Amino acid sequence: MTDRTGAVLAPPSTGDVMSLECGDVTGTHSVVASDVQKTLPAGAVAQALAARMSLPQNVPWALRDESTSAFLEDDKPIGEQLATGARVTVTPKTHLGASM
Amino acid sequence: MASFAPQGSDRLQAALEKLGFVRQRGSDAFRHNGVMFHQQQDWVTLKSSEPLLDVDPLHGLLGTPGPWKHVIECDGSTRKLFELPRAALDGVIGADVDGEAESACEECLWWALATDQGGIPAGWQPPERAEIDAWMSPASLTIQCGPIVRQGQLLHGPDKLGLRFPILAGSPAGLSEARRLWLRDVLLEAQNRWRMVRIGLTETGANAEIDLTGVPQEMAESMFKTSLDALRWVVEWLVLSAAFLADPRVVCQAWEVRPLRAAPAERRDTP
Repeated sequence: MTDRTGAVLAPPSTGDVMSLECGDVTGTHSVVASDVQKTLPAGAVAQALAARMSLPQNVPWALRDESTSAFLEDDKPIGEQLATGARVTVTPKTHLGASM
Repeated sequence: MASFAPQGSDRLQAALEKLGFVRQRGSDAFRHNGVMFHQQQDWVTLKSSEPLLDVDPLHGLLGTPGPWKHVIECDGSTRKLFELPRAALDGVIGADVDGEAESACEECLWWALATDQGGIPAGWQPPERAEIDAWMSPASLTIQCGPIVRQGQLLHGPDKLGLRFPILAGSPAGLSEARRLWLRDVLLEAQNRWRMVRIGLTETGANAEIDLTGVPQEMAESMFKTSLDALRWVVEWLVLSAAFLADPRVVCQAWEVRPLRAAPAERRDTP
């Protein structure tokens, strides 16, 4: 009864939508997110895609554009950072910072 | 009128009577031109006094001024309903400056009456955009529920103030008639169960919204914040179920059996 092969991530209620091809860093999971609202902040899309791929939700996730390897800015609308059909990787936000 | 402080109660009653509402014998309800005014624990409501015929509760009101919506009563009848948090009205009455509370009550009631007819109170103007931006964080228009994420819209213009969140994309193609009825029941349940929020089905999808066009200036901030909280709650409550039901790739035999609530209407059409 469940479906994990694709994702209808957000509705195209106003027609201003895009699609994305997404994978995780290990290449284990991939989904096609169609009808993503262009006004959505990239950070929210990253979290939703991670959930779609059954990745843990207690980890902050970011999106990396595979064509440029650049990380997307979390707070900026995804439609301002990517073109429709773009391939992105859902990446955990990790750093090597030492504890203070 | 015991639920307001005595002074507030007097002012509200005076405002009701000034606008032509007549107290119903033996009750706290007031009536005016087919609209009934009621008080509940935390809410005041205005509701059409007679059932509406041939009205689809999910069509026709989206985008119209004021937070009116259609609800289905226990007896199956449909009525038009306007709900106001009492805290917002209390705030107006409590902040009485120079004896203006009575006129503020009148403005609230007039807002409801004017928008019931599809109009806007004369001379109404929405708050400035900068003022509205100070009432919410940018992130508050984004709702993520697991794999689903929705971006809400602030509707702001010379004669418009409202908030809208998309629930579903388009008219779900490939769904059986029975499954469409299940989906419709879920949307109706959300509209009936939760205060203020109305759901609209259009060709471009299903949306949840609260329209505050015409809201009196004194209660604009309170109503806006309450509306945003209410919408976020309802969208989070509804969106996963609705998206799951509307996804044609998900198959469930139980969804191919017509829901009981929709069945009688079909039977009436059967000779």
